[in-house]
Amino acid sequence: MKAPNLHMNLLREAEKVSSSPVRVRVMLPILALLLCAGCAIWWAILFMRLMLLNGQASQLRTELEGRKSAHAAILAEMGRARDMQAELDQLSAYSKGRRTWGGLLAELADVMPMSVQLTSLSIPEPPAQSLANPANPRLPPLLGPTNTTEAVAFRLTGRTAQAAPVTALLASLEGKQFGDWLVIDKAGAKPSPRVHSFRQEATQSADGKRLLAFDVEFRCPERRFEK
Amino acid sequence: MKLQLTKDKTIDVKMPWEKSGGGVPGGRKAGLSDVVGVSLFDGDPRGCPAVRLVRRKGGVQLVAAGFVQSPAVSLPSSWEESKIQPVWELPAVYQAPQAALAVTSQGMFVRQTTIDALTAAPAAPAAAEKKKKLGVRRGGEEKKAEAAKPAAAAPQPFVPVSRDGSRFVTAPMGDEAFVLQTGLPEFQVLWLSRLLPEGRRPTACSLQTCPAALLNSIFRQPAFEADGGTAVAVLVTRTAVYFAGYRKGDLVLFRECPDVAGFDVMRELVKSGLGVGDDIVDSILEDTLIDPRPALEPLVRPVLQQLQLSIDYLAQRHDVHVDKMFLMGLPAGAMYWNQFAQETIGRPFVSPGVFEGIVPPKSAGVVPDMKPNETQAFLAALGAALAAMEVQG
Repeated sequence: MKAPNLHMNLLREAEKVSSSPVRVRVMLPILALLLCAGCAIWWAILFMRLMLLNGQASQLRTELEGRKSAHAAILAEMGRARDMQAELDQLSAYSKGRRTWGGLLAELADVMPMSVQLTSLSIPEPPAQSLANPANPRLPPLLGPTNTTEAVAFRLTGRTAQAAPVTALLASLEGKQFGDWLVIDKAGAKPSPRVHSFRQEATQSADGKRLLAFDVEFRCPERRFEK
Repeated sequence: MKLQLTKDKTIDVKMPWEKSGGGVPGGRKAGLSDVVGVSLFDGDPRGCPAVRLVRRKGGVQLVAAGFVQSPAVSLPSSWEESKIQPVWELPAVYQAPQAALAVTSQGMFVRQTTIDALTAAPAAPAAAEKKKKLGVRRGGEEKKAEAAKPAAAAPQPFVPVSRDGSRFVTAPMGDEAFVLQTGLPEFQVLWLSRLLPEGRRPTACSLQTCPAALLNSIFRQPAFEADGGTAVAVLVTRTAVYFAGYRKGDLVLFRECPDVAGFDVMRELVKSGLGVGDDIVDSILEDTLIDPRPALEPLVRPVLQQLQLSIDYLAQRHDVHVDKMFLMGLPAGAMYWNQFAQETIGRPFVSPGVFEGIVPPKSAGVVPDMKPNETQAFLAALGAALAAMEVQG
């Protein structure tokens, strides 16, 4: 037997209503409105935050524009200050590297024997410094020396009639009073004092005596160009 | 989702979960699981018969049955009266989510008809009548009017159609040539659709005419199912008697017994014939102390003669030879109807209880203590509920 099928319903679908107290046709629009309102509020909050941030950004931009000239002046002053500081540092380094020879000459006058005639007192030019890059020697050479020290020497030449006064002079120069100017290092690779020559001179003295010429160089403490 | 322009210039929205076909059989939605059937305006002085059914695993269970207070106003008989819209509520035990209403109305109609009759132009005779009244009738104009009038479209089965002030619905019958048509005046349908208010249990999901609801009441009967659904049923109401013939569950015959009223007239006949009051009429029809057959005979004999004609029609037209004749809806006197049937047709009626085939309620007391024949008052309500549970059209 077939399933019975005689439901002759006179009601249309549109005429059937829900028995639920929460009516779908009421709740759906309300929920849709709430959803729309929620979205609108969310969008409004986002819009307000965007507007606030935009305002802050434009305010900051205006402030930055206003401070640009002052900033440029400050940068210029800072540049000047840096330059001046560099000059001061350089001057300070030069000042530290300044070598005074007056004391040495005064002390030398005290110990100079009467029978010795000085013909020259000189400070030789310092040896040429290396321009190689200290970080990597393979790199191109530097434009100028970068070390802050400089080797200094003191050379004296003179005449005498006998060797003893010269020996006495050298012994005097090894004294403590010359410690600030001269380095005494006889056993090093570069000994100081170093006797370049001590020979009989071809010329004679006014009284016809044969003279001895000597050339001695002392190494001095290095000049340090530091602040 | 599918949008479709319908014939009445509206847009039909079909969601993906809805099967195609709308009201077409085979594409219809599943039925309800909790529904209350109510028979409205059937004239019962006890109130409106109401039956609440729930679908269970083991079948359909009866939850409650009884009489509820009728609506405060009667069914409107005109558009003007239908403007007064009462609100009707059912007692708590009957407050299922959905309600199926079986309505008895003087304006209702149920008939076996043909598709050709439904598609014939109905307005042409009216136009001709109007011209006749004005005295301008001329030869050939009637034919022209009829020819100019387009034929109405054939209504789809189980889809309500509004036409000429009526709302009707059709159902296919076992014989393809015929359809069953039932309807109510449009204003009554609209009034009834608003009778149970929205937002409160129950609301109307189904509105059927009382005879159409009665046709469904037999489907759950074990005796009907045992015979493979081939039987003839005599459905007795207060005001009419209907014959229904089934072949393997398909309806092949429906007709109202002509010139015969229902059991209200039967009661009047007994009262006047035996000179008794209202209170003992049913007792006399159930007892054997007083023989009411002479009083019943003028009513029952014509019914049985028409029944015999119907049985012959089924045998000759549809080759349906019925073994069982169901007598349903009769509250009293079935015993005497059986005797008349034995004499006239040669076999008795089968008069099953209304709730046979329905799982009884778990708790006692929800169904009033009534004799089996007294439960026949719930036949239409039960049929309406069962129809709504089977399919929701």
